[in-house]
Amino acid sequence: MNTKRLLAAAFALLWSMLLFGQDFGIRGKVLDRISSTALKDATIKVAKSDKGGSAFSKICYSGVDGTFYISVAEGGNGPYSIEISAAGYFTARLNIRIANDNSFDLGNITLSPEVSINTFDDETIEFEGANETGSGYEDIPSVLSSTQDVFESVASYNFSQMRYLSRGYESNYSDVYINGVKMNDAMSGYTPYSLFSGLNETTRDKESVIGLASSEYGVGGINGLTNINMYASSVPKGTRFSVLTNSTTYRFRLMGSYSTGMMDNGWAFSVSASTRLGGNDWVKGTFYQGFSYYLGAEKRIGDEHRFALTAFGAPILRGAQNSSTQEVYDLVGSNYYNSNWGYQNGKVRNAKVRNNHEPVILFNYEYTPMDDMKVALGLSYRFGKNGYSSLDWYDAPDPRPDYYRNLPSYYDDDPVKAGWLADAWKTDPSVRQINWDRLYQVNRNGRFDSGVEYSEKFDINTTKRSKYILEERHADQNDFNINALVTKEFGSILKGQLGYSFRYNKTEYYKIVKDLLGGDYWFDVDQFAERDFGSGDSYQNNLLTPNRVVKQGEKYGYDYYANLRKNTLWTSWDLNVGGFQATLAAEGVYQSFWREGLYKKGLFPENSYGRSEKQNFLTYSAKLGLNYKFTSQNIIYANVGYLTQAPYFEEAFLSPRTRNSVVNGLTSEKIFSADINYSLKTSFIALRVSAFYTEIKDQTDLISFYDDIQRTFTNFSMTGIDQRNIGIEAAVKVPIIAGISFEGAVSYGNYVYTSNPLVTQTIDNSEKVVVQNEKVYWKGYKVARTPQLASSIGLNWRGPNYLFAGINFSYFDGIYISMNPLRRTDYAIKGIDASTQEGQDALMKMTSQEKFAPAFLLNANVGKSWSINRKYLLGLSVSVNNILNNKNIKTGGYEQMRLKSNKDTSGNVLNYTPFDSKYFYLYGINYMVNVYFRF
Amino acid sequence: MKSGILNIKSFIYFIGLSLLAVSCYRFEEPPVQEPVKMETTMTIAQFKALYPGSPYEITDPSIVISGVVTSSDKSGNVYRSLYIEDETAGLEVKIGKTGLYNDYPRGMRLYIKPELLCLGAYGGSVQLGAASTQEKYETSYIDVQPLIDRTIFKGAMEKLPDALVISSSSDINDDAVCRFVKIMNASYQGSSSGLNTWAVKADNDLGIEAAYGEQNFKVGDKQIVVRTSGYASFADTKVGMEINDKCNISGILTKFNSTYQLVIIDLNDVEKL
Repeated sequence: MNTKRLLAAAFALLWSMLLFGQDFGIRGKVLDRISSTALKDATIKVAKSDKGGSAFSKICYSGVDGTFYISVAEGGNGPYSIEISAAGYFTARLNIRIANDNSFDLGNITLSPEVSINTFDDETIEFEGANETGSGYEDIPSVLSSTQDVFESVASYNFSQMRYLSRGYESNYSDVYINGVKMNDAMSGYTPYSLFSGLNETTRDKESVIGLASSEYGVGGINGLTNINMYASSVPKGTRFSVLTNSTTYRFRLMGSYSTGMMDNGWAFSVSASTRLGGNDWVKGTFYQGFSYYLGAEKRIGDEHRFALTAFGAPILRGAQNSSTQEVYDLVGSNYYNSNWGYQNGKVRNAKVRNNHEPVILFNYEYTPMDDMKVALGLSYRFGKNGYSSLDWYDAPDPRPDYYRNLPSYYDDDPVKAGWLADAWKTDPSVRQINWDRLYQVNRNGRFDSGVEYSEKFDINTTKRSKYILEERHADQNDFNINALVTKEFGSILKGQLGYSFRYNKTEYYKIVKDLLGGDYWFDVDQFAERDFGSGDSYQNNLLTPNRVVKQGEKYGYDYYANLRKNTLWTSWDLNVGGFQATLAAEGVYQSFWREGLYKKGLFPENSYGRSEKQNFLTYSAKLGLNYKFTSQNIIYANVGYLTQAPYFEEAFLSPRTRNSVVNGLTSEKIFSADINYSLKTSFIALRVSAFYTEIKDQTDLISFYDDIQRTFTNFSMTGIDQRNIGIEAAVKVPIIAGISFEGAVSYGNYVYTSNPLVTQTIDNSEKVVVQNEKVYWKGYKVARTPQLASSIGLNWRGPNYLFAGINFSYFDGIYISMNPLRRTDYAIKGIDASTQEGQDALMKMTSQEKFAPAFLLNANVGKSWSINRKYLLGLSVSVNNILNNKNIKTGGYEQMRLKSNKDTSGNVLNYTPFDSKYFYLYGINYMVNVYFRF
Repeated sequence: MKSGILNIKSFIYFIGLSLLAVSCYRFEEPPVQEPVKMETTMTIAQFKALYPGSPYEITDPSIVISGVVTSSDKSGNVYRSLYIEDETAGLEVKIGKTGLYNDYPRGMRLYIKPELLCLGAYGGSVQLGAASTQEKYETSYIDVQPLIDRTIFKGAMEKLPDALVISSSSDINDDAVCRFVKIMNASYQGSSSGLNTWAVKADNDLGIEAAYGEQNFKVGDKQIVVRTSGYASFADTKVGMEINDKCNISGILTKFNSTYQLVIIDLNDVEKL
């Protein structure tokens, strides 16, 4: 709930209030958040909360038009807490201050229905992307629901299914805080939703700013800042259970929570737990086995001290989905084919499983010595395990079913063989999916090979060497944060904040043998180095333990720490004069990160073990926000900011698995951004229109993948990536008639690359550089991963007896494929003769960026809640998405990183051609049913 | 407060129950596959004799032959092929996959139902592969898994057949081709500067391409070429043999036109005298 914003709005209005002689009070209007219709009979509880003063409290109810007025003349001037509740809605709480015997107008207070169609929006889905570094990537929602902003509330639900990124920004440009402590991943900057997924009940209380605005919790980035209040007292009081089923993510979610609310003795306790289980209707092999827990305790001593201890975690096993080429989808007759699984003993087994449990413990202390001053301290600790499994193999054929040599297209010069393969793809699961039985069989045949004497400890005749295993790559964090913030108000005109935070992070990157698949051990040497360099020390993964035999659960391959120490000092000043508000915020960050190798790699004995050079960065940001209120709900505001940001560890090293070498020319990212916004909220209309302009310069990226030409793991390191994001956002909600309201939102942007960055391709297992500082001709190409046009219109109906329904049409365009940088280099187009038509076609095929077809979606929802004996509340909601059942909507895709080399008879490379791209498709018609019970 | 504690207790139960519900993601090992056993209908020698002098696509579904794997592509000197032999002859089977030694280790008995496959010759030697679409080759690699699954069946692990001993020039003949042999007392007859390495490995830094090495030996009065791929893991291992130095050397005997060649499997095959 955006109480702070309301508070600020309310303050500004203070001066323009009407005086009612001696009487003064608090007024406002209660509305339903979805339909903007008035809520009658809402309970408004007002209590005076200043120190030493006598307790004062009063209750009133909203009228037919949702309005209320409650006199507080008896209570006098000072701070008041207000609680607004209505059956079937989440309770809203806010604090205001009455001064000079003036009345206070809260304006419109919108309440969120407890049974909402948006109960599902923070769920992440695991995708396998082009980057094979550690972990696949998660599709993270970049737009949050539960904000009061009209655009975000429409976009969070209707745009997220098309993997919309707010303003075209990646997730690391949004800041997420919990209880005032920044939680973005220290190594990648990504928003950390997986830490608390499944804890929807305890993460509802959010305060957020959007876009470039700075917040009361930090200066923030360019894509908003959200603080989630997970205090025990922030969780709605009472007991609640919900059961949810859906056809796109998991079958079953059971969620329960109990909260005491703030009790008279100053304590509040809250617990919550949930489980999410099962697969989905669309993609075989994916599944959830998830569980989440939350424990919160809070103690207030008087009005001065507030202590809180919060712990939560979300252990999960989650099977991932893979993308494939259109050839594969067409062969199996489905765009939802998943190559990650195969049958083992008749059971579906997925090779790519996220295995994550990273608990977080938070301690907070707030000290309020005076009404106009507050000191907040926060400590957080994140630890645990974050693993992601994958097949690994040693000198044996690639076991992935959709490996390009296993596809009919590889035999385009031999139609008979292509035909055999095509038939097998259509009918034979052992060809179409991972053939686990074969992997076990190979391992059972595995022997020490004569001529290669690895170890004398083993009986050559009985010990089986695994050639195929399941590895689990880990990035296990130890993340510790200290946060201090002082807020001081100087009268009602000026407010200042000063904050400091320190972050200590030590993340261990390593992999373990998760399953030997029928063999007895894995031999920890580097197969590519062995192939290329034959013998000696060079193929040892770790010279400290050469020729090591690895058993299940043990580490192998690589092992290193990423270390980060980060100091942030920031300040923010708010000036309020009349309807005018100015906010100036600035931040300075000093950070230092380094790699610490735990293995001494045979190929890099001098550059792999121990600490790398420390990478030190001093960066700063400054933002100015100007805000003019014609009335409390009729606001024009603008922001401008210049930000610099150090590169993240995960992009800074050339080949972090093997050595300490840092990307050449590593530098801070520079961002200039500005936006202008108009917002109007009346009892009739909610409207926001924004325009934004952002230039991001000097971005760095690291893409790691298996290169078939080099037959080894390689890394693309790119530097000097510049992009420009320009666009508008607009949204409106208007009631039409009889509980029906109209809502519409549009986001139209142009997100393009504005530089030609440099790419260097290095090989994990040698000093060899495949491509060095090759210019990538990216200028003018589009930034991928999001529709550049997203729009939706819909109707919502809120009927009598807590009945609601909605229907919605969305349209998306400007969706582009993620590009392989190599395809836009001179290296890739060498040998293509552009003077011929054939050459022109080859050039186009290599360098043009695929744009996906526009998409049109129809979604609907309906719900109802029942109040039983005025004590229990039962609710039901059903939503159906993609009602037109369009199964050909591409939501994303990427170009394969390798190129095919065409050679003449003596083996010289004539030219290169690209491999087919891989795609993700939106699910066809799907549903979600949520049943909810509260007492 | 009391009811609060009760509720917390019931929550702990709830958590416990949920944990139970989350069954472990575990899998039983698949059963060990029983080795295939088939009745053969002809020997390898009889089968090779079916080759009429031009590519012969086998259409008889009743034919079954069998042999034990004698080669390994582990070192990379044999590539995408394997050799089997029975008491009568040896045969090259052009399966076409890489890393074949993982699936078909030396000593494994294979049964082959060659319907859909093709007998052809390369340099006068009969091979079993798939029908070729290119005129210059009589057979192609079998390559595609569904075709392999239809034609090649894994039998039990047996003992690697004893090498056919070749101690005089008369032992080198067409009956021995494609068999695992051991040549006794071969004398090096190559370059006057001696036998340095078996072949030339690629070196990108020096711009050297991989190249086959052909080393001449003599058994009695017959010449035999030890032919080694530049991609073999031992290609650039120092050998150190002078003219007339002798060794016992094992491998698969092949024949290209009129030249007898030896393909060594790995360095254990070379025994300097």
